[in-house]
Amino acid sequence: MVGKLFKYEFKYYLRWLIPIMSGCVVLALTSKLFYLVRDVQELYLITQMVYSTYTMLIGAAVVLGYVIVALRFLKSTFTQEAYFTHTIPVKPSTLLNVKFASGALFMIVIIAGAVGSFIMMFTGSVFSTVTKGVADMISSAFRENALGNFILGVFEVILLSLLVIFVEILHPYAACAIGQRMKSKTGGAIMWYFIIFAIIRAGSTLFMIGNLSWISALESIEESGRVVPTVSPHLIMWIYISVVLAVDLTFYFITRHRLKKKLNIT
Amino acid sequence: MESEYILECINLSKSYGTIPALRGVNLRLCRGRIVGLLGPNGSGKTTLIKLANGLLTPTDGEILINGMKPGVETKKIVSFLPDRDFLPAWMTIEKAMRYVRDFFPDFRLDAASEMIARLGLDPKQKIRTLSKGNREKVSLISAMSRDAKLYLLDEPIAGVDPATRDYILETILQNYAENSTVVISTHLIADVEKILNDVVFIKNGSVDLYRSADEIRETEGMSVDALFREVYRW
Repeated sequence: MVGKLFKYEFKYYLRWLIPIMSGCVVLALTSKLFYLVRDVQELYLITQMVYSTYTMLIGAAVVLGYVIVALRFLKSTFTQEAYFTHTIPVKPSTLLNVKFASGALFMIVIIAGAVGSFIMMFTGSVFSTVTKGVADMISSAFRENALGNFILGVFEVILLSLLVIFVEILHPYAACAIGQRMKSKTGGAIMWYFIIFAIIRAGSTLFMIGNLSWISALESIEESGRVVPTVSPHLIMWIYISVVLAVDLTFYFITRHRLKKKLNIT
Repeated sequence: MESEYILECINLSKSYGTIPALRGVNLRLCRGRIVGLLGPNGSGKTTLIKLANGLLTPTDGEILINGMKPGVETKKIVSFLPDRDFLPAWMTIEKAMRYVRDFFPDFRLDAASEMIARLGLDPKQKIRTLSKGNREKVSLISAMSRDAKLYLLDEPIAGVDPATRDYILETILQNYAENSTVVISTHLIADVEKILNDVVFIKNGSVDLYRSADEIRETEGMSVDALFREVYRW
C-alpha cells in the first residue's frame, strides 16, 4: 500500500517536475549565451538584466516547488481528494510519512536542479575557480590532518540544509492541519501559516540574540591578528541543527496528531 | 470475525463548535439490507456517514463498523460515495478507476469498465472535462465496483436528472455485493423508496424512526415518502 501511495505522489509531482526542470535548463542556457559575451560593453546592460531575471526565475522555481508541495498536501488531505485519501486503508501516520517523504524528495530535486542550473551557466572560469577552491580546501585539510574535521563540517552543512528544507515543507503542513478546523480550510491554512511564520521569526530572533550574547561572553583568543572566540564552530552548527530539528519534529507531530485525532473533513 | 451488526452507533454525538449535529444517536444496522438514511437538509445524515468513514471524530459516544472503530480494517470493507467530487480531476476516467483499484483489492475493474461503456463515457476523457452529472456517475461507478461489506452513499442522486436517477438506482441494485449493506442518504425519498428495505428518519441530529419500509406501508397505510412529508411538515 505504501508503494502505491508513493507511486501516485510521484506521478503528481512528475507532472510539475518536468516543466520546472526544463525551464531551469532553458534559462541556464539562455543566460550562458550572455555570459559568453559578458565583456562586450554594448551588451552590458542587457547581460545584467538577463542575469537578474535568471536569478529571480530560479529563485521563483524553488518557491513554486514549495507552493506545489503545500497545495498538494492541502488538496489531497483536507479538501476535495481528502474524501478519497482518508478512506484508503492505511494509518494517518503512513499517509503523512509518504506525503512528506515524496514532497521532500521533490524539493531536493528542484533545489538540486536550481544549483545544477547555476553550475551549467557558470561552467567555465567561475566553475573551475569554485572546484579549484574546494579541491584546495580538501588538500589543505588533508595536509593539516584535519580531513575528519572537514568531512564533519560538510556533513553538518548538508544535514542542516536538509533540515531547513524539511521545515519549509512541514511548516505549511502544520498550518493546513491546524487550519482544517476552520470553515474555510484554505483560509485557515493561510492564516495559520502566517501565525506560525510570525512565531518562528520572533523565536529565531530571540535565539540569535541569545546565541550571540553567549558567544561574545566566552573567552576569546587572538589568532592571526583577529579575535576569535574559543567556541568550536561544530558546537555552533550542532546547536543550529538541534534547534531546526526540534522545529521539524514539532511541526511533524502537530500534523500527525491533527490527522490522527482531530480530523475534520467537512 | 464478523460482528452481528455492520454499523452500530452507541450514544453517538457530534458537535461543530457549539452547534450539535448529532445528539446521542443509537442505531444498529443489520447485514444484507438497503437502508435509506432520510432526513431534511442539515439533519445530520452526512455527519453520520462521515463519522462512519473516520473523516470526523465523534464528540461523544462511539461508532462501530463490523464491531470495530473506524480505522484501517474498517476502511477495507467500506465503500464510500461522498456528496462531492473526490477523484483527482487531472486523471482520466480509466486512470481514476485504476487508482481506486490500486488501493482496494476488492475493486472489480471489469465491472467498472462495463458500467463506463454502458453509460457511453469515454475512458480516455479527463475527469475535469466531464459534466457534473457525468462526474457523479464516475464517482458512483468507483464506489459500486467494489465488493464491499458496507456501502455508504451520500446523496447519490442529488443533482442529476430523473432518467439518470433511475440509472443510478439500477446500478446500485445490480452491483452491490451479496450480504452487504447499502446506506443511501438522501432527501429525495420518492425516488429511492422502491429499492429500500429499511428506513431511518433523522431530524435535528436524532433518529426519529427506524423501521422496515414494508412495515411502514402496512401499518401506516401510506408510502415512506408520504409518511416523511407528514412527520416533517413545517
